[in-house]
Amino acid sequence: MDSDAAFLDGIRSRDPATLEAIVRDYLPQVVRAARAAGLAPHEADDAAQSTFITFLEKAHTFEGRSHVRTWLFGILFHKVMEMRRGHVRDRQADDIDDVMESRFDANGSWSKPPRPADAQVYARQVREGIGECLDGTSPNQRMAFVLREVEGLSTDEICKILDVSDTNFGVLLYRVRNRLRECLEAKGMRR
Amino acid sequence: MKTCKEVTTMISSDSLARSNWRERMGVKLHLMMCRHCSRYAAQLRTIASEARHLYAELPSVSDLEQSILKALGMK
Repeated sequence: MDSDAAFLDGIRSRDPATLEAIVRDYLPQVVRAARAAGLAPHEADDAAQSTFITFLEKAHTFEGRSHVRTWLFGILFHKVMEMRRGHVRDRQADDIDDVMESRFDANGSWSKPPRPADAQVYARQVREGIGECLDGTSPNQRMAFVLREVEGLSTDEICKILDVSDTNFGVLLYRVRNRLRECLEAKGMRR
Repeated sequence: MKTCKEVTTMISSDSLARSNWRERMGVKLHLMMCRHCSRYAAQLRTIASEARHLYAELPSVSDLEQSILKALGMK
């Protein structure tokens, strides 16, 4: 039996050593993603714990078609969405779409261009404001952003985790990045 | 020639990766000539790198690990 098959078998048969190794290997990343997705530290711990419990419950159905990490992040995504249910979900229309529309004229040129700022000044403003601005994004937009920019996953993997099409993922990224940029620019103007 | 609106949409939705070289070239040329769009692109890069920086550290999880292994019936 090759090592992949042994690993798969270990997951399906709930082999303690295999499962322990999975917890060891992926727990830090799962907790970080949960925090970056907007959960408080203790909530992130709870989400991570229930992610691994769900993983174990479904271990017998694992077919190795996706990476373990993809599977774990997919479970985590559902937990985060449940825990942040009170927050606004991404709707068909998002007011960021109107905001972006208002930034261009009829020819598609900037009518309200990005506010100039020295690169270092801008980086400092972003560092100071990004946490608060992230808190203003919807849970699924934020998760898309975190998986891309913080965890650095591929589009394919993120689409599987979020269970969305390429196109929908593009819309999530468009909205979250522009929302963040607008939020940071508004903060910069208030200073 | 691509418009600023098209270029910013392509950049922020990551659709550049899915487009052909002709489209990518069009965006590149536009960015070289348009200071507003190149500023926009630079700002998005800064936002991404600061977000990465904010969560760069992996949290320490040894207590949580023990409690999860226990919950899974491993300990």
